[in-house]
Amino acid sequence: MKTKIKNCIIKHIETMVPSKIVNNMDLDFEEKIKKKIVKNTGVEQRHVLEDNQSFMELYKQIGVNTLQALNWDKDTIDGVIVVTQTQEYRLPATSCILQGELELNSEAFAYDISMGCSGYIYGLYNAMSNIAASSGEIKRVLLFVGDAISTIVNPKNKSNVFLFGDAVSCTAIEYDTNAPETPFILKTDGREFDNIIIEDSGLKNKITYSSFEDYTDEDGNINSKDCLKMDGAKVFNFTVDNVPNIVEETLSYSQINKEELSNYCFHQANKFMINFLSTKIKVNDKTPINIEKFGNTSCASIPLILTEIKSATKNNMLVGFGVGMSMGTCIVDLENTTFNHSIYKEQTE
Amino acid sequence: MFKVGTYLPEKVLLNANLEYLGWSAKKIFVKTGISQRHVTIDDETALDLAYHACEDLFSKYEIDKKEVDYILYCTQSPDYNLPNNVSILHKRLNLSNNIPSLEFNQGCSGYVYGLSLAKAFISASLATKVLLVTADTYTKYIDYEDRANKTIFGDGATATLLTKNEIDKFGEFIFGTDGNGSCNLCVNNSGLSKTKLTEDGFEDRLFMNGSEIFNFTLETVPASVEKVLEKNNIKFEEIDYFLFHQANNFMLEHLREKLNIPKEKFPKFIETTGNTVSSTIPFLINDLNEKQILKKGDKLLLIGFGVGYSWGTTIIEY
Repeated sequence: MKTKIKNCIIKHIETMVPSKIVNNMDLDFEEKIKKKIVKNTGVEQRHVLEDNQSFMELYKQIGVNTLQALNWDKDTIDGVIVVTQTQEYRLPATSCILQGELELNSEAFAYDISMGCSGYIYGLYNAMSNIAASSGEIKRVLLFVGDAISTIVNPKNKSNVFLFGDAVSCTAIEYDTNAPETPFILKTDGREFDNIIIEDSGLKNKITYSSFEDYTDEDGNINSKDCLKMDGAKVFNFTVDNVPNIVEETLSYSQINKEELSNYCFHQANKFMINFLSTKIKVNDKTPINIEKFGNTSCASIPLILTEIKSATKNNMLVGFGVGMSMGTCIVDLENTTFNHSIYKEQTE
Repeated sequence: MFKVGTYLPEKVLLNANLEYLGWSAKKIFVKTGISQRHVTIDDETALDLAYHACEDLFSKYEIDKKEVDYILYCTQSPDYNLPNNVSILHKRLNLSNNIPSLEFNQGCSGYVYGLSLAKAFISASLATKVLLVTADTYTKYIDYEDRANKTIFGDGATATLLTKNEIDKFGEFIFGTDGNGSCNLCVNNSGLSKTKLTEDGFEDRLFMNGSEIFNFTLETVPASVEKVLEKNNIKFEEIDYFLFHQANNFMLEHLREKLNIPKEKFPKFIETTGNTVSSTIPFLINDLNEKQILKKGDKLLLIGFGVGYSWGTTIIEY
């Protein structure tokens, strides 16, 4: 499905990572294995939550930073959207808790979206369509996108533990009648929903002691049922089969030439995949990569690229793909956008 | 016209089955207005209920499901934390490939949120036929000994088909959030907050501070009704039916009296299902559809309120 949304501008993108850094070469695996995995995934280090560190605190601080950066009064916020797969509670929604923590306007709407690697695109799409459909009544929306995947990875699983980092982002979107249209394409292919899954995580399979017991999978990898299970080969095939097409489709739908685009910001799945995609689409020189520093941060990876390159340019293509399987693309104008990235600091009273 | 499909799990819990909690069946009914609730069995989940509600919708209204071009799923009872459950529902229903899908987490205000999202998507021409699905199984979160929650909540799911015909008759929406009340209705020990593991798994149990929720509701709902009338420039008397989130009869009657809503304009559907969270309003609409009570042109005021705290209201023309 395709659409172009009018009257919305991205004012600011803020990202934050926890202060704890894990260097992949320090992990408890054989030296040879570590070198090979680091080379293949491109991930050298990752920021992860400390045990028992509150993820909500990161959301809260990034919200405060965003309001400060824009000098936006908290009463002027009309809506809060949180995109995550690692919510604080089954209920209530994290967005509702955040509205209270940030003391935002009580007339603001708030809802959570459950979405992974394509989540930033869906989040932008939702925030913008909420604004566009209100004919200007909804003026300012804060879109929080972040996951703490390190909390759901088995530390002995060598496919996943090297790969995932934690991060949050906050994108401030405002109603602006002079804003250019933002084209979006969104797709779902539920046929392969179990390519990336946590088997014992919800109400389908009851979580018991055995959910936490290590088992060895057919590839000889250790995992447990309370943790992320990923069929890397299938995910790779899905991506290769679908992502180049959706990029082409987005170009033709937006009627923007390949050359006019300043950047192609792919979800930072792993270095091999990003290189493969950018080579196939022939946009290597316009494909920023920062996975070596942060790992795969799920739905936060695209904003994390944007605050890294701080590219205040007109045509930036964002490409999200993964768990679901789900895909989304858009072309955003960031000419008037400000960017900031920071590392979480414990607040001392 | 609202095309709504519904599904209730087969297992029924009568008030008589709950007398072990210390109230007689009659007392439970007097206090809650509920005489039975449907509950899922162990290996039955919200996603199963959602699937059946969609099938009910498709068969009842002879809808070609391949024409659905957006699926919205509201739940707080996921099968898995990831992938999102809407992807699985998409597969099970065998909907057209490559349509967008969205799963959102909201409770009692969820249906109204869903309507506003559908309106946004259809008016932005991203979709023409939106399938809005609500499903929850709160009973899985409720402790065996928890009288207040055990007597009130039931499981269920609904599916509504929304097209331009419907959304053209949606009025303006009002939403509100007060996260300061988030701990008054919450599943503790769930999500990232989970800590305590026992032999039976995490103690992810629903906690409700009933009196705080009651106070919040009595304060917020009447004010929101006033605001939505004002925003839509419609007089109180012009509303044909007030379709409230069916929390429990006690709460509903307090609200009705406070707002001076005549009984005949205040239909209820809670006695046989209990509080089904985001599904109560569409269950109510489906019941009115079946009884052929609603007429074309009727003005309906919808309001959902609860967990979050979160509330949402709008006025629609049937």
